[in-house]
Amino acid sequence: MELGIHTEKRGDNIAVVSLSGEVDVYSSPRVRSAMLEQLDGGSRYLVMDLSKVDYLDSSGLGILVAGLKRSRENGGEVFLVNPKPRIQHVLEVTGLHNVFTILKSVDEAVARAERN
Amino acid sequence: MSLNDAPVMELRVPALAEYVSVVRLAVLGLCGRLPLSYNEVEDLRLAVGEACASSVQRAEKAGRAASRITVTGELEEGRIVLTICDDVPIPPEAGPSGSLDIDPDFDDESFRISLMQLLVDEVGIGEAAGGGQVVRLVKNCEQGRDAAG
Repeated sequence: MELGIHTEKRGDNIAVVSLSGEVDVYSSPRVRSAMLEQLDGGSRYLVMDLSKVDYLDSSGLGILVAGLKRSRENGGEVFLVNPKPRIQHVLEVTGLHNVFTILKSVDEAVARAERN
Repeated sequence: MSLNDAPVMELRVPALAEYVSVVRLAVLGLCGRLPLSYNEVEDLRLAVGEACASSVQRAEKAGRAASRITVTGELEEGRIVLTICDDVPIPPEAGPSGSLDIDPDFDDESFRISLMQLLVDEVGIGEAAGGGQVVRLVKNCEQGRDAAG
């Protein structure tokens, strides 16, 4: 399934990046570009909506981690939102569920970012 | 027909990122022959995708656009065996290590290998006869013998 990316600014330093479909070695460079565009544009907090992602491989995981490192260097954070059970399984198998803050809704993640 | 009589799948695709999804789709069809759970099938598809991604990235780094990946699938008694073979020379400094450690700096290759090892029951990585890499993935299926009838 084709990767879909939708980005939306929420205030000065928060961006919501909504992904859909498959994030793999072919499509992940587009996710990297979308994340970099927001980080370079001043968004310290990225809310990654994974609720419509059906497939996530190591290429995608690596980009999420790279985005997290970059965001934390700027005093921000990357929140993952509502991954499907299959994607949650991959996050747990790799131990990355302990690295990321995983929240149930975009609104919850945005509120968390606004409080920080 | 018993699993031992099942035909072997052989698929040959360019070592290009856009063809990895084609391999995953073929593996999905092959897995339909076994009583694997949804998560087991998805684990295997992800592991195959990782092996193919390794081939693709080495081909890109080596500038070998004409490289090919050959995926072979076999249904053996109680397990499925997938072999992913490419013709991309393995750089001496980046040969498969089989390390279980996940590199904190996300070294692509070591993370891929670790992920494959977490997803399937057996992972074997070596050098193919033609100088490329061969990855052998085995997923056991406890109910396979019953399904063979």
